[in-house]
This record gives sequence, structure tokens and C-alpha cells, in this order.
Amino acid sequence: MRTLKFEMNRAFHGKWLYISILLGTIIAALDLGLFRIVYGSDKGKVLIQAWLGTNYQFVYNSLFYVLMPLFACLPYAGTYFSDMDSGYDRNICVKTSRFSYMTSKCVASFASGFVAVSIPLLLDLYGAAGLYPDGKPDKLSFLTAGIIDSYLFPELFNGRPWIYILLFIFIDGMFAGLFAVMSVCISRWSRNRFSAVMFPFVVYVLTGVVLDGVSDGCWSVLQMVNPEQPSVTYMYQMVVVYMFTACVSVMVTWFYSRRRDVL
Amino acid sequence: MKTLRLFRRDLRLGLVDKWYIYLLPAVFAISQVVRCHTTMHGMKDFGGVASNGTVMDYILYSMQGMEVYNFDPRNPFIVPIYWFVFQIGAAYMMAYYSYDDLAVHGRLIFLSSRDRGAWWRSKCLWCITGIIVYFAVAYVIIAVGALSMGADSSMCMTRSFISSLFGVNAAALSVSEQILMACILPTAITIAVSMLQVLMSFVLTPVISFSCVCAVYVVSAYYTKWYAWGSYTMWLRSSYVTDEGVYPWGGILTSIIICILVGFAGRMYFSNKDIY
Amino acid sequence: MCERDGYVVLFKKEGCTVNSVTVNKTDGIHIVDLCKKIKGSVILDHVNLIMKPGKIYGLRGKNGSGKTMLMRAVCGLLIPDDGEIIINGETLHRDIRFPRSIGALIENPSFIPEYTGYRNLKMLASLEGGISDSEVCKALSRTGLDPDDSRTFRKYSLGMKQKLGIANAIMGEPDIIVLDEPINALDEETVGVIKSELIKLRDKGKLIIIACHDREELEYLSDTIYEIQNGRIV
Repeated sequence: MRTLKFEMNRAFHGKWLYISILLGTIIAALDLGLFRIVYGSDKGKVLIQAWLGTNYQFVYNSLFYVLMPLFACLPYAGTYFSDMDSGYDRNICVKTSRFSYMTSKCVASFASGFVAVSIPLLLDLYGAAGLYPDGKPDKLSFLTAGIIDSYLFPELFNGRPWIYILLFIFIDGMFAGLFAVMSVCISRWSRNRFSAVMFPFVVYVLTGVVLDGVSDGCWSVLQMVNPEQPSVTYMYQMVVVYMFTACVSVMVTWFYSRRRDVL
Repeated sequence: MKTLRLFRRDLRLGLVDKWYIYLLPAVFAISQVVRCHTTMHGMKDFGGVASNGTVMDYILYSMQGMEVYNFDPRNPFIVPIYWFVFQIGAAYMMAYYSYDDLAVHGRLIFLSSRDRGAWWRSKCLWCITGIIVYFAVAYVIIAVGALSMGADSSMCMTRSFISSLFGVNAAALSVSEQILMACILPTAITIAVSMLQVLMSFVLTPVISFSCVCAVYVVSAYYTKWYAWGSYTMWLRSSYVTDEGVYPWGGILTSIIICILVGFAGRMYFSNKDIY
Repeated sequence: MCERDGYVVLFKKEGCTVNSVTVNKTDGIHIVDLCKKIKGSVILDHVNLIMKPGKIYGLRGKNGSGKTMLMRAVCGLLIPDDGEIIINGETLHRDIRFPRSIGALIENPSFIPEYTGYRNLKMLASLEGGISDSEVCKALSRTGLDPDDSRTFRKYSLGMKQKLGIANAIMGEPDIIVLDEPINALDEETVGVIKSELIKLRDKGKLIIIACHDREELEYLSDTIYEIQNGRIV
């Protein structure tokens, strides 16, 4: 518990969390600002068209979701590598159990990744809500946001856009946390901190290429996390990908917390 | 002389020892060759194309990027993922080596070489060489793949193939224009962006500078402007192909200017930098 | 005696007399009113020193007193805010960027992990130019390392890394040798070997600057010892 408290304190008092949130917020603000400039206070526009995640008109949605793993891993995910490199983990392992240290590291990384991605989306939602009413999206002018009946949560999108948005913010936060945990797990084999932080991004982008369109529905995380839903995604695909990645990460963490020589 | 010695070292440590990074352009090239062949084969079945195409057809197909994007609610913006992965692969290759070299070995290297300028010059040379090799690997594999698929070794495109995919303007390009836009210009602009990235990695951090380069490419995919440098890497966005396109020679000039400015800026930066 | 104020020789070796010397700026290292601040903290504060070839100069002080920073400044790695460092008549950062002939071990020695000790030094020697393979091997042997050792740097113990750092510093017998805590992590036998090597180099006319926390070793080796406190020679 003490270790967890220490790691959480370290994660949430580091400057990189705030830098990550700031970068995400800048992108969100640019998107909302541009929307406001283009449409002004057009009464036909509603919240779900102005929010970053479902605003498919400008580049900022793509920009945010391409950079999402970097925002998630920047705050704290590289610290496990830094700890190993500096020898700090040796200090920890003689004072507390390795399992406790690794678990705390993963939890703190998950939490910081979750926060780093969800806060800019929440702030953008708050800003958009202040400018545009919460209304049902007009399908004809909003054909894509892709959301036809076979996509994820069409009832929420059409009936309760607010909840749709909040649900996707939660999903994005969960995936962001997962990216951060992946980074912690790969640190054991990384040659430098940069590789550890970049690993989830590399996997995210490469699977976006390889898995897109490979079968009915989409297995690419790059498409799954985007509330715009550029490709058809089924719920089970999202759950399977998430659980598989989470299980592998947890198993690696557990294995290495038990067996690793601390050199 | 010192620059060359340092450059030899950088070649060994930054390129030869990291040979695995060149798997990415190789995989990109192979996947694009397969896609092009599939498309061509499909068109052959329908009588759209009479031959197996040429090497230039494959190169143009692989390096197409995407057309100029104009917002349309029925046509949402999606980053052209193959192009994006190829470009950020080059950015990834350049992201960390220089920074790591300075942070870990800087003291020893500067004391051995006794020349700050030579160190920066060798890094610039390393960056240029790395990108040239990166693109060369892709082009060579595309050419070899094309030949293995039965394409002709000619550098002239198959007009029927190119015009049906990309329009009549694209099919009207001369050989020199094709080589300029599909081979020389993407390499040049990527060199310029990479050099800027390397310099920024010292001023900011490697991760932030890599993120900035990713942002440049994503924004470039959306906007077709002379200052969205990624547009120059997509020959479909050339002014020779579309009226809204970017001017290729402007891209060459931009690359040269960026390289020169980065060279000087880096020289000044490292002249006054404390080495820890 | 020195024509500049603020210059003090704190210790003399027992049994030696200090000869008065005419200050000759073409010889050795002259540090004149050197100042350096980093992020608002004063690192070096009006440092004045003269160091002659053919001597070993010891630097002593508490942790964080500025010994390593002074060594970095002498090596040309730090750009001073004020003052000058004149090495053999040439002013650092004006006439020359780095001392023309220098070897240094500053803080933790850092080499390429995948290369052997010999290969690491060979690479650095090729950058410097004028250092043959035999000199590289000689430097390794002098510090107790085996030039034919196939182990990579990654597998070296702390003491071996330290020895490699010292070997790099003395490789090619440069005119100025700067060693920051060289005998840390070394066994007694190796300490003896290093000491005798340093004395041999001094006798060949090299200028050696050494920082060490071990008072006895420092007094044994050094012809002159300077005490540094808060970036000042006290």
C-alpha cells in the first residue's frame, strides 16, 4: 500500500503528466476553436459535432488519436526503465517485495495514462457543452460519424449523445492506461527509455496497418478507440483485444516480479 | 577529416548496428508491391491494362500518399496509413541516436575529436545518409518486387494503369517529373524534416520532437500547403497533377533551406552548449 | 608566487621547497577569474589557478564543491560565464575549442556496451588520430586490463569500467590528464599500479589533475593540492 501510494504520488507530481495533458488540451482547443470560427453559433450544430472525438471535419481528431499512445506513455511509463537503469529498483527490492513494486508501478502508470488522455477530452467536452447544445446529431449532415446501426452504441449516439461521449472517454482512458502498462512491461527488454515509451505507439500504428480490414469488423486499436468509428467494430473485438493485451501484460509483470535477477 | 572519422563512427553505430530498422521500408515496399500487383491483376482481368506494368508503375503506386483532401461529410478524413507508417518509420530511425550519443558518450567524443562543429556535421551527414539508405531500400525492393511480378524494367509508366487510378493529369507526367516527384522530392523533404527533428530532440526531448514530426505529417495529410511539408512526399499532391497541389521545385528549395538553417542553428547551439 | 590576487597554495609536500616561478602563460594551464553559474547556482566562483607541466595537482573538497565542474571547464566541456582558461598560451573557447592534447576521466566512464574494451578505445583513438593500436593495447595493459579480453563493456564490473576509463585518459600519453576520482572501486593492487603509472607520466612532463576523497592517496600523489569550497579555491 505504501509502495502504491509512493508511486502514485510520483506519477501525479511529475511534470510530464502536465505536459501530456497540456499537449492534448492544445489539440482539443484548436479543434474547438476552429469549429467555432467556421460555424460560429450556428443553431444547427450540436455538442456531438463540436466535440473532438466525433468532429470528423478537421484534422485534430486524427492528430489526437494518432498521438494517443504517446500522451499515455509520456507521464510515467518510462520510469520503470529509468529505475532499472539508475539502479533505483535495487533500493526498492531490498525494502519491499518486487511484486508490490511492479504492481504499484503498473497501477500508477495505468492511472497516469488514463488521466493524461481523458482530461483533454473532458475539457473539450466541457468547452463544447458551453458553446453548443446537447442535441441529436443530424444524420444527413453527419453521415459518418460513422455511426450506422451496426457500429458500436448507435442507440446512445442517436438518443443520448452525452453518454456516448462519456463512454468513449472512458474507453479511451482505459486503452491509454493499457498502453502505459505495456510500456512498463516492455522496459525489461528495452535498450533505452525512448524505446520503452515508444513501444505501444509502434504496436498501435503497425497493427493499424496490418489488422485493418483483415476480417469482418476491425481489430485495429487505432480504429477502435476513435469515437468517430471510421471502421466497423464489434464489441467483442474491443473486449478481446483489451483483455488479451491486459492479460499478457499482467502475466509478464507477474513473472518478472517473481523471477528476475536484480543486477 | 575529423568530421569524416566521426561520420564513420556514426555510420557504424547509428546505421549498421541498427540494421533492423531497415526492415520497415522493406516490409512497406513488399506490401505495396503486393497491393499494386493485386490492383493491376484485377484491372488486367477487366481489360483495363494490357501488360504487367513497369517498375515506375509500382513506384508511383507505392509512393502515392493520398490526393488533396477537401472536406466532404461523405468522405471523412483518414490518415493514409501506409504512407504515414513509412514516413514515421524514418522519423523513428532518427529520433534517438544523436541524443543518446551526446548524453552517454558526449564527453568522450568531444574530448577525442576536440571539435564541436565536426560532431554536429557528422550527425547531419548521418541523418542524410540514413534517410537516403531508408528510401533506397524501399525503392530497390519495390523494383525487385515489380520485376519478380513480371513488370517491365522501364522507368516509363503505363499510362492506362496510372490514368485509371489517378487521373489523366498523372498519366501525362514525363519520366523526369515522375522521378522528381516520386523519388527525389520525398527523400529530400524527409531529410529536411529529419534534420529538424534531430535538432529539436536536443532542445525539447526525443519523444516530443518525434510527436511534433508525427503531427506535421498528420496535418500535412489533411492540408495541402507549402508549409505542410508532408505534402511534398505525396506525388499525387504535386501541382503537376492537381491545380491545388504543391510545387515540386518549391519543395526541393524548401528542403535545401531547412537543411541549411538547421545546419547553422545546430552549429550555433552546440558551440555554446555545456557537455555534461 | 603569482601575479594574480586570490591565488593560494594551501599545501606543500613535506620536504619540498616551493620555487618561485615566473608566470609564463605559454606553459601549462592558467585559469583566470573563472566563473560559472548553472540555473542560478554559482558553480565556480572567481577561480584563479596556475598549473605547470610535469606536476600532479590534487583537487579536494566536499561533494558538490565544484571539483568536477572545474575539471569539465578545463577540458572545454563547460563554457565559462566569465574568466579565461589559457592552455599552453591558447585561450579556451577563443583560440581553441578544446585543449590540443588531453585525456580525461570524468564521473562514470561511459562506453559502448556492445563493444569490448579494446574496441571502444580503438574507436576513440581513431577519432583523435595519431594513436596506434599498440598504444591502445599499452594503455589497457598499464591499467591491468587484457587487450584480448573478448568480454563486452556491458559485462564489465565497476572496477573494470573504471580501469577502462583511466586507460582512455592515458592512452597516447596526452600532455594534460584529468582524472576525477580514478581510484574509486579499484582494488589495492590496481591502485598501486595506477599510482606508479601516474608518477611515470608526471616524470615525462605531463600535467595531471586528480580529484580524490582519499586524503592519504592524494597527498602521496600530488605535488600541490587545492581545496575547493562552494566553487572557490579557499
